[in-house]
Amino acid sequence: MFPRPFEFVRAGSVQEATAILAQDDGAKVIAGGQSLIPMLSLGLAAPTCLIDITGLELDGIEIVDGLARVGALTRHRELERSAHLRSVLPLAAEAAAFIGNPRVRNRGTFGGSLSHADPTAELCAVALAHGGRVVLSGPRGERTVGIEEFLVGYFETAAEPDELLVRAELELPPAGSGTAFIEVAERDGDFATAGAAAIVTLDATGTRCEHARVVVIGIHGLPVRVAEVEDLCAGEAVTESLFDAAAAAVERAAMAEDDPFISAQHRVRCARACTKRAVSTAFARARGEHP
Amino acid sequence: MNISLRLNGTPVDVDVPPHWTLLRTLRDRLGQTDVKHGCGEGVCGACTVLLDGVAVNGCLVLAVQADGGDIETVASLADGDTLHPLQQELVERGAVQCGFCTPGMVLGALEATRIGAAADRAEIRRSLAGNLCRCTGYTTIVDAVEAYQQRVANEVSP
Repeated sequence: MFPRPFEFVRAGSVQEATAILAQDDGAKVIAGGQSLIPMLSLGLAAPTCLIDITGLELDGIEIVDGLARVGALTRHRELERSAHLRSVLPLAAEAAAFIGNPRVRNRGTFGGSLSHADPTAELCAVALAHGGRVVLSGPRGERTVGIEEFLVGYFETAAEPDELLVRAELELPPAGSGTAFIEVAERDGDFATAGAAAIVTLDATGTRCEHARVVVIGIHGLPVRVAEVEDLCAGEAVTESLFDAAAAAVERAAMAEDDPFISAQHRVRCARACTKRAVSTAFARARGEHP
Repeated sequence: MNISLRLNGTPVDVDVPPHWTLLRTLRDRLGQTDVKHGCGEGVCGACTVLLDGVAVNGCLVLAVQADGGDIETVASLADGDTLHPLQQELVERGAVQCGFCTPGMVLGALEATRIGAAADRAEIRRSLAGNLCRCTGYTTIVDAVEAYQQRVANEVSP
């Protein structure tokens, strides 16, 4: 239950961090460490060198050209508790409250969550629901990658071994939109069994859906957008039967597998229920009916 | 690596390998055994300390990452034989049985009270999530934190 030895470097700059990553195959980046340190302690990861980036100025959120630029070192607790961020990114605030426990949220970072790409990661679902891109910095300079391209699969991203995620740039939904995040876990604070994030926009009449983005946790190796749900919502009247149809579409899209603790069937049932609640709550919020 | 900490108000310098967690360093190098080693993977909360006023799991912070930090453990709270008011509330309500989770409960509840995340029982329960108690069933702990929170609220706005 203790990590094995490694070297430790405090990066003074993004360039220094990525230069070390380029030179040393065994080097990994550490920020909040709330996933990495348990993995070290459990022997699931054994880097030879850790590069601490927490001294870099990569935190904070600013709104530029309709995008929320979320610095890699923005902590979950800030998303959850800052009144400003709750108004700008309410979906992220709602989702962040499901991550681990308060002490984990005090340390864990947005960039770390995206880079770790845990199959049940709340903030990966949030980023996919918003859409947008991540900015990766490496020895060859910076590049941007769309969030759906970045999140490749189970614990896998499109970042090269010598690249560091420095920020995400999330698209902000138009006025008249509502968002909701719902998750169920076997125990409070545990990894999600299933969950759903929804961002919906009503048309000018306020009765029909103009546009929906729906991401589901628990039916795939990573949180995934479910195109069928989004397609069937677009242009439809917002009714209970629409929510049922959305839930049924999640079941058709599901590629869940049994694991030693949770059956695929249970996960899919939970995913259906979460989707229905997330979509219906997001519509209610878009109409100003739901807190 | 040499690191400098402020531990319960006293400056300390300690030479610690990079792979040592703050928990291991506090217990095995600095004799701070009031910080409990429970699960070692961030689930039980027994190793909670305040790092620059922020509650963290000592097992999920590398000691070298805490360099320059101000660490408060539960041992800093009592004034001689006089317990901190929150500790006193816990004792009076039978909220301490084996006591192993208590340091984490106390520090977690203190942080939650300080940042305004313990306004009612639901918030108190949420703020104590990830502090596992296998004895009390939590009710008396929540009672004690609620009583302490009301005491603080009354002091602030009498």
